[in-house]
Amino acid sequence: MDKPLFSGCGGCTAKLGADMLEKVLNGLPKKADERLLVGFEGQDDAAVYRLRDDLALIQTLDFFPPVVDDPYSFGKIAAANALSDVYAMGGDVLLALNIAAFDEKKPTALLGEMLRGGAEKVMEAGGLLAGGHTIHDPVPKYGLSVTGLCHPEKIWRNNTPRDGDLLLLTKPLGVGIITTAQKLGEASPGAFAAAAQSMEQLNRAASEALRDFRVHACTDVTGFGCIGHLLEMLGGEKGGWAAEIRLEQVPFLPEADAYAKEFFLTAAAQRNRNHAKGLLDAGNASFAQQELLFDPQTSGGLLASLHPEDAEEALAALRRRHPTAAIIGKIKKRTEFAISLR
Amino acid sequence: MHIDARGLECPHPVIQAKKALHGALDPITIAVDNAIAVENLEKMAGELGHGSAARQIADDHYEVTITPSGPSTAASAPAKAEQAPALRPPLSPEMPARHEQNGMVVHIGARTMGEGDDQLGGALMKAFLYALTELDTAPDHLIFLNGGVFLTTEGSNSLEDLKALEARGTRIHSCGTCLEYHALRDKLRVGGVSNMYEIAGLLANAAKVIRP
Repeated sequence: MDKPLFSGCGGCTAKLGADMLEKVLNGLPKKADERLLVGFEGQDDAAVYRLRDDLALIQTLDFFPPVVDDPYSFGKIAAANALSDVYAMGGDVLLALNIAAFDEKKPTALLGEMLRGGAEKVMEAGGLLAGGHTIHDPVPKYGLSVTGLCHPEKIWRNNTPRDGDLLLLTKPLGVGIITTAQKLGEASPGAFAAAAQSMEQLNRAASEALRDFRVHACTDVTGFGCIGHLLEMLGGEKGGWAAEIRLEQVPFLPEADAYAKEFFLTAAAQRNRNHAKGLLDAGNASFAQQELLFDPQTSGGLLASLHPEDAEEALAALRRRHPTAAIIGKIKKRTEFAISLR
Repeated sequence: MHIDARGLECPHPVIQAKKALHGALDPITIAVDNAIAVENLEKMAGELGHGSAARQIADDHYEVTITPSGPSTAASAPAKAEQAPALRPPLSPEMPARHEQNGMVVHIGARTMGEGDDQLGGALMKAFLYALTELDTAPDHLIFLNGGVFLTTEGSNSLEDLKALEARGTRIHSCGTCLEYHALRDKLRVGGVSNMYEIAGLLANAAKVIRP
């Protein structure tokens, strides 16, 4: 039986490990420009550049090999994932360009389906798909280069939480483990459908809902897992912030817990675990809960740090479109560990 | 037992090791080509309560040896297992009920299908098992109990069909007590040995149970 074209180690498990990236990026030549509001230093994968006092440009890009077998679904997921960065910064999507790689010997209908999914998501995001670039490659890949706009003073950075803030997570965790189980034919149709639907969902509604509240920091949860992205928010290894996470509040996708217990482990989750060594107090967290918190997400939800007085109202607003959104923890000043699981 | 999982991405090495450990009494050694896979294997072994040791042989060649500890949880139990199911250790103390997790389960409690004539019944069962191999979606589990264990053991004329199903991912379970009773334990030719606890779980969490 032919190996399906659209299957493989894709999604955010395809990202290179944070440690490896850090070393490489630190060695690149850089130029200082005070109009670059967000660049490499914050470990963001989006750049923000001030054009005027009231207008900033957001530039971001994301692409990867398939994480699901169906090309149309993959197109939607890859696009939603790329668009997410703009939303995580509190911005609006303006333009997008396709980045695609496809095996020219395979039926073009598959490429068409992939791009159709992407085009629909860009439209849903209120943006314009203005072109793109496709190259030949035996392993298909897809994503977008996205341009967004935002007011420079309203940009949400990813590493500026405040003491006493509450943390909100808008989508449940576990897509990495479920898609891994699916690759081995061990995921139930229900679990996989829930995971695919979660990945296809834009973060637009969540971002827009949060703009009415005092968001101090925001990021989207992708390849480094919830813990990895939370660590970035807390300032990393040498940061001054800490977070206490309440395990029973963290939303997980249905059956993800069971698949974690069955050891559908990814290499990426283990790399994420290694990156957090010494910074995490796992408390009474079970093996499965830990794996799910390290699980790399593809097109995951927003992780936002909010003023405590706004959190409940923000949650109610989010839950209209994201029923599993939850307040998962709070921010404190760091004394020993960066993240404690309770 | 030795598994060469080099060239395979996670989770394949972990899953292959997990399957090999199921019911294993001897240590198993898995070869992988990267350090992360070694870490995942040791993590799994630790979580299951087994000992493990890893060594690096070359740049892209590592070996992890996992030593199973304690009796296998899937070993068949003597007849008294049915009398006191509460005393048997659960397969996984924290495993939540996986509602409808097990998909389609076929329960085969005899080597014949239907009643009235056993010769006809035997032919019908053979035809039924063959027909399963022709279904668009293979069943997730087949459970063989009582007389059904004659279908998974030496002398059965359905072994090829059952092996074909197994190749498509169907898990085949024969009740250990029943194999013992009919003195067929070492004549099992397809699938694994199960126990009433596991069988009850499979049936309880099935989306659909078929009894031919």
